[in-house]
Amino acid sequence: MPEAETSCRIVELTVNGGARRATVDVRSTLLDLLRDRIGLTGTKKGCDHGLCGACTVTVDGERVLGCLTLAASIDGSDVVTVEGLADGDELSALQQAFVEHDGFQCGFCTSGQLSSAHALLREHTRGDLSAASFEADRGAASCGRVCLTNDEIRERMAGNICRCGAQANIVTAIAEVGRGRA
Amino acid sequence: MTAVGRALDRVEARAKVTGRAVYTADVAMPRLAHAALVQSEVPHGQVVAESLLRATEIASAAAGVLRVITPLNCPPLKPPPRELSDDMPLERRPPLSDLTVQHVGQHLAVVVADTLEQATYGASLMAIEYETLPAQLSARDVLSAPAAADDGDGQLRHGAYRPDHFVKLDDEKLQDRRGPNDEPTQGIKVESRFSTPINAHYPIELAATVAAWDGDVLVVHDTTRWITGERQALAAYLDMPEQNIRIVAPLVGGAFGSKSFLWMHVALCAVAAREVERPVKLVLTRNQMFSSTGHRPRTEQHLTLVAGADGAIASTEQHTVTETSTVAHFCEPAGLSARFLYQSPRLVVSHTVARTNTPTPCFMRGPGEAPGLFALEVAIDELAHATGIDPVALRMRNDADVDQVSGRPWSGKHLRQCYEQGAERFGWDGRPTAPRSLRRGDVQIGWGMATATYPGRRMPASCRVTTTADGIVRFASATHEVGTGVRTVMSQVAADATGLPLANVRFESGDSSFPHAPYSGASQTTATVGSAVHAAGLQWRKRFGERHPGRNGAAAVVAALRTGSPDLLDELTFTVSSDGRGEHGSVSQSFGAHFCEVEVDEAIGRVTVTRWVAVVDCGRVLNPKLARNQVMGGVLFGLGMALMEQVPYDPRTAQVIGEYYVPTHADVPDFDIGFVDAPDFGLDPIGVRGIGEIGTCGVPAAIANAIFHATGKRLRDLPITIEALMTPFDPEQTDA
Repeated sequence: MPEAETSCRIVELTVNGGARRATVDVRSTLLDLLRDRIGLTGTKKGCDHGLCGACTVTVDGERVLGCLTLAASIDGSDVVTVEGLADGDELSALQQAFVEHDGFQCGFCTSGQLSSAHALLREHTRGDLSAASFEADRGAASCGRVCLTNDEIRERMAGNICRCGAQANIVTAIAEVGRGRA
Repeated sequence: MTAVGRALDRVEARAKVTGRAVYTADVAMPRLAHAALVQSEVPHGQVVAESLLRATEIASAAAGVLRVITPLNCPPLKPPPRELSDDMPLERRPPLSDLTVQHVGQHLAVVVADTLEQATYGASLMAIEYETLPAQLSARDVLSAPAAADDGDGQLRHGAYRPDHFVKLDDEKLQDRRGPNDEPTQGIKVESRFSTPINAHYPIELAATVAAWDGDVLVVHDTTRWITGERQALAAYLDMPEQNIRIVAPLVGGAFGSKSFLWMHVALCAVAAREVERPVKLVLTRNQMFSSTGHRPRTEQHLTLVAGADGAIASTEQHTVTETSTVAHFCEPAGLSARFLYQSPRLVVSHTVARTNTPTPCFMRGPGEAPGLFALEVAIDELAHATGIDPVALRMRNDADVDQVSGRPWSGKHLRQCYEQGAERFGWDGRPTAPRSLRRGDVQIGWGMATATYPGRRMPASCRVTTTADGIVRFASATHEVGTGVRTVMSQVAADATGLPLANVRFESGDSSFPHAPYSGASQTTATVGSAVHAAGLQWRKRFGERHPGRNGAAAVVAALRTGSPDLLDELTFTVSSDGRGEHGSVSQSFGAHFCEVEVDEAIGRVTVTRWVAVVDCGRVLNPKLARNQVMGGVLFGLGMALMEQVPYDPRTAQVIGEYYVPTHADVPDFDIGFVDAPDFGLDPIGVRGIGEIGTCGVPAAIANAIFHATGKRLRDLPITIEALMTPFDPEQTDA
């Protein structure tokens, strides 16, 4: 595959509010572009094939796995990483809740957990349902207004693995912020 | 108010939630090249040299590829130190030393290129052919065939062996007996066979190395939990003085027993950097993590208990067969807890290790205890059922007042309180004895419990104190922040020992230029490094007091530092060492009790763990917020072992043919974690015993016992999957 070895594309992205332009190998993932080319190493590589969720970032408002997104496929997109969650020195409510409730141990999955948690709150606010919605109250699910119970949070965060076992604290942190909004 | 005992946030919490925390793979350097490993795809055989030459030529011609290193061109590496390979799991054979293949996943080549994509593509071009040989893939294969002779000056060994003791711990006997020769012929007997599969540590951080040479000096950033051991191993492999090697371990993204000993890829990364004269980064793939960073080996255990009608145990036998590779030594010490956990006048424990054509295993959270207590604590539950005695009452009936192995007292044992508090918090009193008694809607409910235990360990360590005119006192030791919170709790210990406010102390780890510390493992870091930090802090306070008698109060002390002479700061900059555990006449051991509820949907074979109560006796709790997190994490580690975790090797090809399932958010029960919080000054001056592993120990048994209570099925093979619950149950089949 000699073409594959040399084939490059120019990609223009907005990353955490700033314009970025890079020449990328068509085989490069968004994850490797962010980490190795742009130098935003907060997003982590835990498996590189969509199992662990550590590389979760936001592309055009939706959570995606950076390791399963080819950089060349999202030209023109708006990307938000963990480095873009705080407002200067002021942590987001979720970041602050993770600190207070000790929502991590080693911290390696934390960027992905936080990106997913921010997305979870947006998704819940706009009425997205989860598998757990139908196990609880089908009536509420049918009108798209489910409570953000711990079961809902667990289901909606199930794609983000934490091997240290801080899940209970992560759920507490998300529940506190989520219920504060409701 | 002391800093110790407070539920403080982690000192690196802010860095971890903002993405600023630095891990090994985040380290960037100018001219950094990337490496990718090529590994064997057969379990036993010989690489065909011509195929390797051809593949090397093809890969070397690919765009961006700088070098392909194979056994045919790799500068020879020296064997590792025998003290790390004789009774520890460091492989006896250096990497890329010849063309023989001993297991799937053995390193066969390193491809170095300008970019990761180019290195990965180059590695994919390495089509290697083998002359295959018959492989022994299980203990059964090994034990049923005559053993081949050792090979390669003893680097390759075959057959089976029976180790005397666990690693370097002479008194942790793997072959042990006491009491009468013969098993009692009277009494109630429980005899069962248990099995546990290959488990993977599965830290979310992949093993990563960045190696850079500056003349004769090698700097290695690595995801290691044993900086000083890695330096010793690399110095041996590369035949260079230790002082010319610096190992830096930034934050480590979880280890659980991995990220130590299996340093062959680290040595190869250093070789690659020397060959291409550029810094090189090597990150293992998730699949390579299964074969190249260790695993918990399989066990098969035969356990026999004989007790009187009153439940008093008269005899315990636990016989374990486990597996290691042909190139390294490791024995999963499953039978150690049986030697002391319950009073038993007669005891026989044995371990047999078969050398198989599989990757090298190593320590994994609760080595020995995790699989061993699964068997012992399920057998105790079987005895409770057979005698009609409540499982908690039976355990209390057999509680041991002294360590039966040595005859010495415990330095602090509060196991009865764990049982009592746990039972009360759980509501155990309301438990009907008979299985299949509890039901909720369409699902069966079961309540189970088990005892936890893990040794209190401590080794020698050193700590450097540096006092600067900004009023900050820095404590440093070559230990590792693997997520346990060591930087936080050491800061708390340092603040109390010096009398300084927390804001004025720092604890730094992760650099071989810091004073010596042992590996971060065996739940020993807090007791080990904490003793050194405590001694350093007291020394600091004494020295300060001699220079400024009568100067009290934190603010006044800090002010004195800010206006202090260089001479004062020098006086307050020094290194201290603390010993390992002395012979105090007592034995340190942690204990705990787990209680859980499961729901079993028998129509679809689904087990859900809904509720968990754990009460742990682990000495003094330095930081309840972090300690609770550690214990919950330990329980989840055991939950995964009980219900889902096994490395899915194909028994014929030895290839990994599926995914490794670990607990997710959706699998987490409601937790109620308690601590006895009684300081144990028999082990160390801060009164702690480690908590890294105790949370896992006993968990699989508590779940299996709860499943028995829910369903009446006694399942003795882990993991207990949907298939196991859906298979028609034959109680005879699983009995010994």
